[in-house]
Amino acid sequence: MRFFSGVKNLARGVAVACAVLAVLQLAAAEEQTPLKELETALSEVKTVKTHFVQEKKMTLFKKPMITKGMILLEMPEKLMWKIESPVKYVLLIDGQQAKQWDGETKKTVRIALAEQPVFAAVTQQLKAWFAGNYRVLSKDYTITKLAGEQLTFEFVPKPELPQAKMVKRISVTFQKDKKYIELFQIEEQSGDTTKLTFSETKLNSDIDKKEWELP
Amino acid sequence: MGTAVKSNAKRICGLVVLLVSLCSIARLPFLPFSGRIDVMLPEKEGIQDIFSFLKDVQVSDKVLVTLSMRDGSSDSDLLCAAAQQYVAQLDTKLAYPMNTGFQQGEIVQDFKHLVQQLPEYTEAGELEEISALTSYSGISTSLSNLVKRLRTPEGMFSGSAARSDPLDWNGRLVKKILGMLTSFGYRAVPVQGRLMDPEHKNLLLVLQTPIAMMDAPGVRALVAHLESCAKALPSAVEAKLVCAHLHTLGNETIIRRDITVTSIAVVLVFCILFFGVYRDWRSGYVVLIPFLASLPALALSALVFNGFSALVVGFGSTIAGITIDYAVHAYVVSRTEHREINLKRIRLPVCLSALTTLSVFIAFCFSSIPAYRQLGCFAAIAILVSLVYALIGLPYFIPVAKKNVSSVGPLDETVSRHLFSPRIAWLVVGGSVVAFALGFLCLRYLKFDGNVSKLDGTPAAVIAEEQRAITLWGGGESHSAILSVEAPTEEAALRLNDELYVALLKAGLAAREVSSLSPLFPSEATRQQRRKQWTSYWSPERVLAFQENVRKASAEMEFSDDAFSSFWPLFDTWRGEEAKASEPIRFLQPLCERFIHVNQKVWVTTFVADDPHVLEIAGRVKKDIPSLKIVSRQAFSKQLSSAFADEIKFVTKLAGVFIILVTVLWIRRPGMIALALLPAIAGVLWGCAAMVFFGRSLDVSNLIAGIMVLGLCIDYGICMVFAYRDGIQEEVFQAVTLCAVTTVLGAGVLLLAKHPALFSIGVTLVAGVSAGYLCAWLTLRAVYSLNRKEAKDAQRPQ
Repeated sequence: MRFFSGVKNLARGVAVACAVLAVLQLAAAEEQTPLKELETALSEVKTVKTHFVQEKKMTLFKKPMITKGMILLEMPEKLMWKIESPVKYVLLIDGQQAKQWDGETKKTVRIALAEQPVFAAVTQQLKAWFAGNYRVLSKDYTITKLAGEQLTFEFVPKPELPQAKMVKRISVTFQKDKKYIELFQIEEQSGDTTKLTFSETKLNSDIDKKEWELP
Repeated sequence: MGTAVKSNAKRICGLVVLLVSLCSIARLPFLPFSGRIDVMLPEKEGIQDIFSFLKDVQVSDKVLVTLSMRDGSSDSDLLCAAAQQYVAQLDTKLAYPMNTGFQQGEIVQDFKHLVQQLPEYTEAGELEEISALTSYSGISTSLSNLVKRLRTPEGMFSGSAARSDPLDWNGRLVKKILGMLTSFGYRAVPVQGRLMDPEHKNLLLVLQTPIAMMDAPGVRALVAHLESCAKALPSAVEAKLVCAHLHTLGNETIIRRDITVTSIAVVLVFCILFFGVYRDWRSGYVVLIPFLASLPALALSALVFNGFSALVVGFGSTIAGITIDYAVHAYVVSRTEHREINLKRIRLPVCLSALTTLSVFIAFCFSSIPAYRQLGCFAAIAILVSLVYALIGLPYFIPVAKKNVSSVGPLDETVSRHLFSPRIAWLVVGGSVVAFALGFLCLRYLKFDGNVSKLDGTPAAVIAEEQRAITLWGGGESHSAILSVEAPTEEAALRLNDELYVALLKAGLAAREVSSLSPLFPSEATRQQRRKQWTSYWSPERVLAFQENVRKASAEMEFSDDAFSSFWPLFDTWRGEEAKASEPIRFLQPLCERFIHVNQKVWVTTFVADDPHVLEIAGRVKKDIPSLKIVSRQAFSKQLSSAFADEIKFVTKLAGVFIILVTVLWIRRPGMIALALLPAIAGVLWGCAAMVFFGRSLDVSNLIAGIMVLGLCIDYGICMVFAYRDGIQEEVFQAVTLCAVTTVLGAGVLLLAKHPALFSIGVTLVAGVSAGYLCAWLTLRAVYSLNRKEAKDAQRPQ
């Protein structure tokens, strides 16, 4: 019955989508207001190649969890997150596609972000924080510029949002030349902290095609 | 007849017609007209039920608005702002936005409830998995995965979740729920609290409306309002609608347009023919008669039925148009010099014509399709009233023409007065045989399509937008079969739905092949049962072993001593035995509304592929669940097709019997009967065969048109046969020609109609009436020419 089939399918689709929306609202958060100063600082950056050390201090563990790796960035859509120790792992995001390589299984998983809304929300966050797309964050966070030698911004989740129950604050400290992040810290309500320190950062250097390849 | 007597009779006739018409008009506002389409369906077992069911489970109270950038670009900010503006403009009496967004606090609460309901979402078979997960190696693997996840970028923001759920049981539940939700295949993703496509090029707004789909004035107001809201949007943004109401509006607009065009064209044709050919303003009475006959026909037939279909009124009025033929005959002979004699002569053939046509519509009254019964009754009364008006009333208003009437006819006098030469007669007979053979050959390629959606004249743009929206937002259940269970209460229906789901999986279907609410929203009984299973599974020994395994594995991986401090209280909650009803998960509510339908009883739907293998499995399951209803759209379409075909056969046979009875009893001469029927056979044959040339199948509307062709062409046959017998072939031929030309020209306009049903009617009428007329004119004349002696005898007035 053509009278209703199209409408019916869509309406049921909407019902499903509403449910998905509800599930994802915990993870996905976008922003509208521009954060010009930071964006200006990053606007000249076309590529980034940097090493990082991630230190997680969690009540879950007796000792801090140290992870080392490298990040490759090509604005605006390409990001590679490579973990080199103590495990091997690579995440490559390129537009609407993502690939995950696991060093333990030696297998690569392809992910179409359009079909994986949870993963899409996560990658959106990664791109927002590390590719300088701060504009999308200003709706959910109160942003304050901290005093100090280096340019540092503090992002405090707005209290009415669910993430406020988990995250206390996120701070982003820029290099002296303001070109890229030097330190990224997450402080959770439980007291757990995550600290990402970037070093050997190369901006606007040519990144060899081979470096974008997964093992 | 004296002048005074004639004048009195004229006055009385005029007065009676006026009174009848006024009384009928006064009755019209009180007639119970309805726009229901189900009156077009046969009242056969299953068909009406399935149609009502399909109608009930459809969503006719929703309007989907897709906002897009006109240039096809992606600008989520502008689209969201436009959506906000669009919603702000809505008149809530006509439409209001459906709650597609949820308060953040509500979602957090929902997730707390969902996590507490973990045992209720754990099926018996999954307890085996729990056993493996809670073993030492299972726990080690889970914790190892957790550590790995926390190191990855995806795990950067999930520290809090890991603390409250180190074994990722809640995560598994959420993934399971999400997996089930996304398995429905829809593409909308949340952006700024709105639903957008993954490319962020389109935004979806879902509106609810209290306006019923068949409420034509309400629909007009609703669509006009939504269009005005769209016009106020930023110029870069466009809003496109998808809703059932557009079908109503599209059909109404197109039918209104087609009928207006057709009516104007028909009136013009009549005016040109009557006023142009006869140059007599009184010929306007001829045009008036079908209209005047329709009024009492409508008023009287509506008394017989509880509700009267507006669709029938539309078709019935068109059918009533064929009754103009009686008036044409009466008009033509009333203008002749020997009008009294000629009027007497045409009474028999015209009455016989009316009776045969009446036979067809009386046959309709025995149809199992309510609309056909209504149509039969309406048309039968219209025919009788027209006949009375034409033969008794009209002649009083038509004076004898000043000039000899035959001299003003449009046709070649010589041809009409003389029969064909034997050579030409044989040529015509040969040509007729070839035409009949060709017609029968075409029938071999003709198919019947019983799909009532053929009556849907929704504009192509509306259908195209629906297709675009389905492509854009996903969904593909238009080809799904629907399985439905029914019970007096929601809980009982959900319990049956759970049974159905389990049975389908047990019978061999994969979970991904079954779109069911059961895994997402099980019944309370199923929940309680699963909770009991969970509780009984967790014996004190198992709990102790689990705790020991967690302690050992977490210590080895250097988890802190209180790493599981948030988990154990939740684990205790899961093992609680309280039998209270589960807290509702509000974000699942819109989904429940789509699967659960309440109408006195409650029924829950499930969607499966509409293929024989799956339906065979469903058929087997039905043995255990008697209330299970299996609705296959394909099967329903076939069932409808077969029912319509049976209906055509039945009505045609019955009409044939009536016509033969009437003609045999009245004419009594086999040769005359055969010749009288010949134009009707030619008309119906070519009315159907012409559809082949347009590459179309026969549909329900062709049945109505075919019956009209039968009624008209049999009239031509009878009139011509009697004309040859009575020697008035010149006048009758003129009348028949006029009838045929007006019908063909009037119906010809339908070939320009946009509505598929009207177009089909146009094709059948034009081809059928033309063939019938040509047969009555040429074939009958050729046959009479070849039997010259008999024809000459028959020409002498009796």
